[in-house]
Amino acid sequence: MQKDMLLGSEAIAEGVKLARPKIIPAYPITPQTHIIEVLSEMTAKGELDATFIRVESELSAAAAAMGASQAGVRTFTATSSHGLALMHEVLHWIVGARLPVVLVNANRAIGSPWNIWTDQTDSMTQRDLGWLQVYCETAQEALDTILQAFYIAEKIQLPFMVMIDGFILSHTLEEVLIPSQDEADEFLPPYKPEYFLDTNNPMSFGAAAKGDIFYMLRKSIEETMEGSFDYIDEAHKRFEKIFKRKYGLIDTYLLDDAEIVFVVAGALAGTTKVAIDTLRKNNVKAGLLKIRYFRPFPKKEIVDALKGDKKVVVFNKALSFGSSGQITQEIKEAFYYEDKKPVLYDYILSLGGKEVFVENIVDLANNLDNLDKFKILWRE
Amino acid sequence: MESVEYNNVISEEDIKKFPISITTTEVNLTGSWRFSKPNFEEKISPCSVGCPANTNIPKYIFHLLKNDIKTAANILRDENPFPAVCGRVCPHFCQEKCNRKEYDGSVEIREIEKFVGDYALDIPYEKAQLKTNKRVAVIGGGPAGLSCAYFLAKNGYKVTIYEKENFLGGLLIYGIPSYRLPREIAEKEINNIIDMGNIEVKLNETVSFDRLQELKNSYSAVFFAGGLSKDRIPNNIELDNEKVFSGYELLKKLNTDKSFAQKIKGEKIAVVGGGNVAFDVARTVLRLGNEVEIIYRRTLQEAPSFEEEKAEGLDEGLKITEKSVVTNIVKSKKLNLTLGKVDKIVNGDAQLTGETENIEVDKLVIATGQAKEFEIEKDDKIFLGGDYEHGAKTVIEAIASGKTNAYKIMAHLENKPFYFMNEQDNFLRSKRDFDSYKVVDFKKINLFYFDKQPPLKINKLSAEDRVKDFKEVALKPTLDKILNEAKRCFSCGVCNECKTCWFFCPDVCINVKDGVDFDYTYCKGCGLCSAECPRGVIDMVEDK
Repeated sequence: MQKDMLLGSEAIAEGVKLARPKIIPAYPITPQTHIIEVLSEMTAKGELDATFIRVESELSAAAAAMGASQAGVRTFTATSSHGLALMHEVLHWIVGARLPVVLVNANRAIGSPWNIWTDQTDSMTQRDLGWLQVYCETAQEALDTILQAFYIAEKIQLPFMVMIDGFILSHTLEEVLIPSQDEADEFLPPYKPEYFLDTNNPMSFGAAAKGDIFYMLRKSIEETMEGSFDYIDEAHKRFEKIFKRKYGLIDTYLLDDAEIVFVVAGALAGTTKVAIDTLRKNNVKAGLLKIRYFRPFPKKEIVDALKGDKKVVVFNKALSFGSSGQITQEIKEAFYYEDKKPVLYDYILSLGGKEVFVENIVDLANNLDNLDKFKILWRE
Repeated sequence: MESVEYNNVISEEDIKKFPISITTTEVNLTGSWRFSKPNFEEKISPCSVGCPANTNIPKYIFHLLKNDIKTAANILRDENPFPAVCGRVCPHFCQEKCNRKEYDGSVEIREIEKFVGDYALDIPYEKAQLKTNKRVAVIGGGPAGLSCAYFLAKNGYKVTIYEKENFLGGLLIYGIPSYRLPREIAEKEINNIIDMGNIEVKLNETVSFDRLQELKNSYSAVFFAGGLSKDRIPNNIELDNEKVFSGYELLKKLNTDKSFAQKIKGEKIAVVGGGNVAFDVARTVLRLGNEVEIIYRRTLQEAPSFEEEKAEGLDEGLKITEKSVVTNIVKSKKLNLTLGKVDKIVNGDAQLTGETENIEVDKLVIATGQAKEFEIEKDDKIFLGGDYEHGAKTVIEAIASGKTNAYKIMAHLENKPFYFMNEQDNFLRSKRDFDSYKVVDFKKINLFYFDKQPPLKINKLSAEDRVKDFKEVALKPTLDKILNEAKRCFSCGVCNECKTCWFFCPDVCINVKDGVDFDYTYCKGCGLCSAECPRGVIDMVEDK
């Protein structure tokens, strides 16, 4: 293990390098570009024994990733925003084929109008695919999540999407602990697929299937998702044992006695923690629920964390127009059969990189009684 | 239509949790989805149409690039027994038609032909077998006669060539100067033809009109390609073969009498005419150390000589007096010429302005064209060809004429239709209807597969160096450069096994070997192969 000051993008590239992927097909897009820039350098220099495939679009990147993974090798790609949208069709195929591709998405708004700054519209609109989704708060968490992602994806044969906030994480220097290759190898064994494209053992993949079989395969994906909590838990324990860093499906800060809870996914958790400290100094009992895993959605953990007489403000950085913020939807759905439900505020805190400062959150907490819980809430 | 076992493409036995099938997808007969199908049909490249002898240019280039230069040479010589000669003196009509001309400049086919032709010089032909007792007389041992003899002998006929000179080759030997066509090159190609067998050569045999009638009785057919052996001289000039010569006469004299060149060295010589012969004579005597002036009644631009000859001649220091004719000659020790300025030419006659100029020269050479010695009618036994038939034209047109007539003679003697005789050894004329051939035009070429690359630049000896002797003007490019140039060939309409179709076929039902085979059991008729083919050999046709 060594300590270094790294950009979030560089930390991710280090994590990918430690995971020893064989194929990295990628197409550059702001703010993901640094990640693949560093990876292409690593492969060119021979530091990473992988083939970096320069493709002509994200659609091709996803298709190449699918092919590579189907051929039985560990595969990584990264994108952002419009790039993720362009991949959409193939992302479905990758799930259907049960391929453990790991993808990093640097969260960024989608036009129009043109905007390169961060929100979560791009990944939230991909939530129904069948990819696992984790939102990271720090560069360290992003690096660690890459290793966990490969471990879990390969165990359950489902693809894994790791989200970081564009610029806020990708372009910011942070102190990062980089595991040694030996440690990483101990955590993440080489990938041994059960089935892969093999001329000596011919079989076909994704050939036509009629309704009965198709239905069965889709049911199997859902069952795997539901069963994945055990594997995720096992991965976290194993990770803690080797790297001494603890991770969960969710994370909390001063939650137990909190009367006001902010629910956050991504780097905004950091700002919120500072706001909570400020509020606590003024005797406002605020706390944080950070959602790491959005897919599978950890209903049980969230219900346990939010039950009691709490006011819960859900910070969304995306919304489903005509409905509500996606995180709010999920939490409401989790509480449907619970007797005691918290008061939920569906807050759209930031889109397209609209700045969120500590005082915005503090003011919001102080004005909570004036908010209408039946409406989608917007900032001034 | 569904194939019977469609349900089993993925079966419950195969699947655990992945969409994997170990039953073969071959049960899914995707060919049943098709409503149009790819059809492999090679077509004709425009260069092959441009070539009077219809050489299969893309095909020999294909074999050259496959490192099989021997097959390349054979394909070339199947259509034309003079590739080394044509690689030097042919104006290359093929290059005019080349599809690449519109893109980044025609392929330098001439250089490639020269390269393959030179290689073939040392490859003798397979010995010709005698297949019939029918005998054919060929009058004239120039390119037309030799070409006719070649195709007849190859097909098993006994041929006798009657040549009035004491050597074969006609103007290849005495007409075209060796700086354009080294003599040994022409001689080797001629010898190869004769060595093939079935050909008897009678030298120093002048065939007069009366003799021709005799030969007609002794042979099954006669091919007359006696050329244009009579000089066409302006009325006011008389040849004396001392000071006033015809173009061919002078060239022949220089060829046969070695001391003659020495004798005339340093003299001033005027050459009248604007055709290739005029330029050949002028450039030849220039090389012998003479001062030369060409006198031509039209402008240089209008002169019918090859542009290349004109340009090279000017570089070498030829002096040209345009729009002038010789109106009077006073013979003394020297020749005193009066040149009349031409105003315009009406119906072939020069109308003068009245301006005159006098020049003094040592020799006058008249190269204003050739004419027939005597008139012959063609009949059921006499076939006419070469310059005698079509007037003064190029070497390749003479060769093509000999070839066409050989096939006409064989068809006539065997009482078969013309095309029938060609099926074995002429790729282009082997179909009944020549016009029905599909020629691949520029629009059919998939340019995605071709980067722009300018044509090969041919290096030549410098003008100062080449006037010193009779060394060949055009220098040979290196093998690398030739192969690079060959790679520029689009191979229009001719499959060169690039396998682009195979690469794109999503149903893995293409096999490329000696053409393209389709497995129609699985071909869905998507048309990718046809759309991607760089050279237009795969067409989509309706499939009911």
